[in-house]
Amino acid sequence: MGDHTLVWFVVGLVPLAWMVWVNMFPTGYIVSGGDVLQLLRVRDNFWFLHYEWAGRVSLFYALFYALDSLGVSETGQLSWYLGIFLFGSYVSFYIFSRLVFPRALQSVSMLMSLLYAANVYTLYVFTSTWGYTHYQMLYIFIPALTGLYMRALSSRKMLWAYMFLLVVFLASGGSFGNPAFALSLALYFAFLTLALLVLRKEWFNLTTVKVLGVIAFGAVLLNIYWIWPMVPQVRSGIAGVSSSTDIVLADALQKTSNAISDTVRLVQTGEKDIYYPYNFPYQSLERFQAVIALMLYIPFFLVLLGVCMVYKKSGRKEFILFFTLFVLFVFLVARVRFPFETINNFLFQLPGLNVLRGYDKTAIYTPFLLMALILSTLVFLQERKRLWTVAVVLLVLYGISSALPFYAGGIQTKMSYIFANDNKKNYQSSKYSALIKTPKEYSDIVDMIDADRSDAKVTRLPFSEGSSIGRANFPRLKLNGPAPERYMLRAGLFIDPNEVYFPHWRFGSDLENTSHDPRWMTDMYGFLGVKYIIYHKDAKSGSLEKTDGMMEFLRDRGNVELITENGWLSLYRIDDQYVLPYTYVSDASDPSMQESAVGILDKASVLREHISRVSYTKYPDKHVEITLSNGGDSSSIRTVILNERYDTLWRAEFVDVSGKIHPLDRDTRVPYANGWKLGDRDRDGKVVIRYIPVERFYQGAWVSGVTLVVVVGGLAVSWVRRKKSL
Amino acid sequence: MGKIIAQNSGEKGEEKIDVWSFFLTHKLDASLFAVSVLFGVLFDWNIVEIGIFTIFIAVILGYVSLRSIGIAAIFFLAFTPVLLFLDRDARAEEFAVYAYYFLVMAVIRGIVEVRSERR
Repeated sequence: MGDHTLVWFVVGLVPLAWMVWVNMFPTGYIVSGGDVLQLLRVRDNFWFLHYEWAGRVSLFYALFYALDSLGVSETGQLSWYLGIFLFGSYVSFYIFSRLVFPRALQSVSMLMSLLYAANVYTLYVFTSTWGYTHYQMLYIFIPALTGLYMRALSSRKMLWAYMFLLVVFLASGGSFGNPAFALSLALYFAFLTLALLVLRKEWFNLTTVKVLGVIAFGAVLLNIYWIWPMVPQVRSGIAGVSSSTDIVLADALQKTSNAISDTVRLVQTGEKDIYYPYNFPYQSLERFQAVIALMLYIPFFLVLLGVCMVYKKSGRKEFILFFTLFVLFVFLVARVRFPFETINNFLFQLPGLNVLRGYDKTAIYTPFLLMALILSTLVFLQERKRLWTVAVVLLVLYGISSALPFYAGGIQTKMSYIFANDNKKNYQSSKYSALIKTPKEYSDIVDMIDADRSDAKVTRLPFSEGSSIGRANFPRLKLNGPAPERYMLRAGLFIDPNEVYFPHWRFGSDLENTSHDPRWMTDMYGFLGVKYIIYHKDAKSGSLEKTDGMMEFLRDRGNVELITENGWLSLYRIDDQYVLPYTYVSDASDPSMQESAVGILDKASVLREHISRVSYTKYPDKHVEITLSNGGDSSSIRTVILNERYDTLWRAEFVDVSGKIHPLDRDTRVPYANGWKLGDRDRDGKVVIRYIPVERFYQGAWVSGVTLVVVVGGLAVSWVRRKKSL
Repeated sequence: MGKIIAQNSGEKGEEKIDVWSFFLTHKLDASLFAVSVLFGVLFDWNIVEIGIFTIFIAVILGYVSLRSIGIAAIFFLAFTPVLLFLDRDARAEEFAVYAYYFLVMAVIRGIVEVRSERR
């Protein structure tokens, strides 16, 4: 095979297709583990989630909307997550290699692209549960963005700038679900630009500055559709990271700090033992485990060989550029380890940078920088055939050994980090697994709830706490992660007791406190608008022991009614007298409630007596209109309440019968929902409640849409001009 | 008499310089080397750390080529997998840190050399 472009590119696709095929997931299983629950019922829930996330990941999940609509099963969709990641990373790095290293052999571009797609880092992504969401999608786009950026600056042609912006838009569709990745990407490009300037790789004349300006301005405008909705939340988000008691920043930095010897091998120090190759499932190859762990040093030794050869003029600037960035990111990934503890302690505590506390926020760039350096080294070696051959053979061996589970199959069935410490390394025989199969009994209960088309919410009991916030522990289901009913139900209905619904009270742990009168649960859930309780017989036995008696007590007193039960679940309905509607008006002089079981028992029945139901219309885009007529209640003290989790980003206005609008002030005494004070004049008319991020999404979407049209148009014009000049 | 070897990047061949002559003809550079050693003693560094800092000064002054830095980094990094294999994790990380210092020197030297190229 010569050095034909298409042939080598296609050859590289074959092992990727093999990886997807050999890692097909067992029928009927979904992924739920750690912090991740695979998105289910995408076709039904897409629009709710689109507005819930203010469009941040809609472009990515639009693909899964299409797949779900075409009948691809949820198990089948798992292979799509894997395929998109592997193929996307391969194509992206291939583009980068052709743009920045045109002298590299096509076969080398293919090899390095394969290594970028399948390596120890990407194996970590898919043997944890992150790979089955949008979370790490930025990884795909880093090489293409880098290559197009460098080509745009070196050629000073708008064609490349437009192509860069187009890829930025594609990347925005899923990569910035966690906005911290956007910040880390901005930092990465700032460092890249600074390095280009310092190395005089690109001479910054007026044309370069113009191209840079178009890129920077265009990138911001293309992303404004998700940035603009985020702005009101940024300050509180950053402050929340600093002051959080759930995750202490200093501890998080310590836990996520990475040893240099591990970073150069793309291994995560803190969780090394639960990921490959230290979590090694191949018993027949156990004697090779240490060898494979040592082989992880091969790429970096090749890079150091490149350092020794960099006196060669050709390709030298690119090498030094990526080497500088790699050394910089090793420093950032090291966090508070010696010798960086002082400076990194300062840097990561800065407002804004503290959101980069997670390992992957900075480590996500290290595989690309390492592969770019190796590519550069192989270009240096092209004139020295023997050494080149040895390097390529070593890289092939490294590629297969470091990503062996991708080639051998079983990335979740045998390699999942969840059963890394289990004696049985198999999803069927281990105690817990990220692959779970919800029995038909779950679907039966969900179907019953689905038949109720009201806005009544659903919760689960017992608390059966998992290993962290937001997680449940259902041993019979082998689950330690988010409860699957969150997405099995219509989106937005599920209230998980392991989350925060009262600003100062995490009530989950009180649910198994037998010293309280259990009737506080029906009071509290009623105030949250919960009508149904899914009672898990597959929960921890200790939790069931505490809660069984409580449920029997509540049934006997008529607080709850058992609707149906099966071998896995019981479905209870809370008596209507306790369940507050989605919106209502309260004329209580003090609608506040102490955030505790005792406080709820004291006040709930009193507050319920002061409630008037109102008619309302709920729109999919988090917009509610409440009709007040005939003066409503004659009381001078009234609060209109929206039964959604307390969030300062809900805003309300009163529109009177003549169309005059005035904003309503928050009633901050209502911690369990969102309340606004109604004045004497607010009697006949409408209360219009909107969620600010959704409003801003519409505004931002216009700007991004127009920018996209300009970019596509500019790309087309530049392309035609280029063709004509050729 | 000790001999030091200075190899200029991009040039083949070596230039062997007599130590005493070096100190006599490069008084400022020699003073900087001496200060670097004193610096290390003042901050209570061990001999390896003083040596690395002195080499760092030499890199800035242009006495050490990129190739030599690369070899030094390889030297320290080569011990790392061996020490990890022997369960000497703390020592392995210590050697990795020394290797990192040389990587930083390589970056500085590389930037200096690239910038000094004629456009």
